[in-house]
Amino acid sequence: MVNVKEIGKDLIKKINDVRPPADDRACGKIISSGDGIIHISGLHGVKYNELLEIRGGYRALALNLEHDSVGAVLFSGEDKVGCGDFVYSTGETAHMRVGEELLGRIVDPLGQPLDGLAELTSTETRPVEFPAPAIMDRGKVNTPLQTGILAIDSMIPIGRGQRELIIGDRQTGKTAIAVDTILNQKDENVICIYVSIGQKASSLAKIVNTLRTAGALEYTSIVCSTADDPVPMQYLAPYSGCALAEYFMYRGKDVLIVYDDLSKHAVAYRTMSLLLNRPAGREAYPGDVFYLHSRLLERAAKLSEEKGGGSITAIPIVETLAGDISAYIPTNVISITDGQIYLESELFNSGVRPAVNVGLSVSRVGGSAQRASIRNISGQLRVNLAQYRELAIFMQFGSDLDAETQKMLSRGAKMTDTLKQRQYLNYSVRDMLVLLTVSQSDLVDKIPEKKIVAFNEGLLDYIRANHASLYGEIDIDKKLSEELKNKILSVAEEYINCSVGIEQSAPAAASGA
Amino acid sequence: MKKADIVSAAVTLAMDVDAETRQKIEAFCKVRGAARVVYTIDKSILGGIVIQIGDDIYDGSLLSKIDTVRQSI
Repeated sequence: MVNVKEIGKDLIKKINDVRPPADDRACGKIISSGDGIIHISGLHGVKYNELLEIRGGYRALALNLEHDSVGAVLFSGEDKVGCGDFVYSTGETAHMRVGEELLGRIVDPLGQPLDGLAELTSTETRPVEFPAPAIMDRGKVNTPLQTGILAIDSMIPIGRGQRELIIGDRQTGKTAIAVDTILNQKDENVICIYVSIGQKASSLAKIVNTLRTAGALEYTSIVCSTADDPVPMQYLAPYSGCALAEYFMYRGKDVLIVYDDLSKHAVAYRTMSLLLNRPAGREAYPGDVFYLHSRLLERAAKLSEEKGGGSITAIPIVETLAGDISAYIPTNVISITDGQIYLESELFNSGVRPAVNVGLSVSRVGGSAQRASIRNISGQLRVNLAQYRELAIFMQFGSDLDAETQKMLSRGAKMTDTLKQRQYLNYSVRDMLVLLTVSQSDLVDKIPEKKIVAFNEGLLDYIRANHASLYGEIDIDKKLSEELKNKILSVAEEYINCSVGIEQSAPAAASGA
Repeated sequence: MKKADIVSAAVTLAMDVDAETRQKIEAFCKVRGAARVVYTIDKSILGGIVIQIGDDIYDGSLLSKIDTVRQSI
């Protein structure tokens, strides 16, 4: 039975614990309100980016400090706040709740839980806007961040502390790459933060489900602002996520943060700016839209050993329209980041998934962080693929090809097929070494063209089942020895010979060709 | 911010107070730059006092205290 006295006691205790705000806070009056924007007279001492409180418990962010009024954007209570209401300054800028307990949780950009689980008890906070680490505090990017995706880890390697952009049209698998990368950090001791900016709640729910099922939520935190959240929340989300990432980085941990996506962030900021009557520039974005993203991405860093050696690897996502990477936001973000992974819908629709355009994708710093074994074996890959593509285009004009050219074309097609990878299927470094070794050897000529994907998956299973010791012999930080290479190739040959499926389909494929 | 202009203080009370209290209030306002004091009686603040001098508001009303309690439980 409910004990009324107990409830009363609790209530009295709570009321006693209430600390009223100081009586002499600076105060202003709302003189106009609409579209989530309020203008306030008074409040002369207010700071830029200061959090304001409105009677009724609503909050706003001071963004326009003018001579005789202050412009602010409302976080909540758009339809409850009206002219004449008192607005109090809080004396502090927006803060994000931080702490270990945020792992596995979904929070809004101010650190309030949204997942209906236990209340957060952490009282530690970090300012949402924070200066990036200074030059001397930074170390060299020298540890790889394995995405588990062969095409990326072999040709566009990402290092811890790097900023690598994922860019492409809608429906090209941008988020899929980011989610796969998070899933691959399971045993890598990397904390992941997924920031959703203006995404559909349904797609976010899907991602959360995927992470939960894979057990990845334990080391992942989700900072969420969905498409129906007030614009200031969407604007704040990446900075909040970054504040949380910094908390871990300054404790010496490695963090991966995904901003999904920055084009919606720019749109949210444009909405705010236009409503605040700021002058519009190209594509109606305000003049400081570059600074909007540069100050965010500058906070990703690899700290020096003296500073604890932690890192934030940032993976921003930008959506292009009809493949136009020369639009305003894409060019801005491309120039800020240390490289980009360019996804193409044409590739995606022709079955190349992940749809990475290897020619247009680069990683400007990750090369030095790549594992020695992978770097050694994938050095030729990019060149070979480029040659194949050139040849493939040329081939469209003529049908009579000599045997040599035909062989090159078939090998190129097989190489491309090797880089295809199912979603949620991550390769370990050793898997990649095996696949790259086999796909660049003469052995591929024995495998029918359409069977490469199945062959690769089968081969890896075969090795795990029958030659587990082979993986133990591979030292991922050293170049593969010739001896080991031959060993891998002989195992692969063994698999080709014993794999019934391939032998059966081989004649069929040959007659078809 | 220092105020060079002459400002008047708007004092809101829930009920009228005696002369001694008024003197105290006026002294408080004078120190903070108010040249004169305008009194209003407003029962809706329930009790206590609200003083507004320029942009500064000193809100010692019962209403705001109750508001704070309501928000935090």
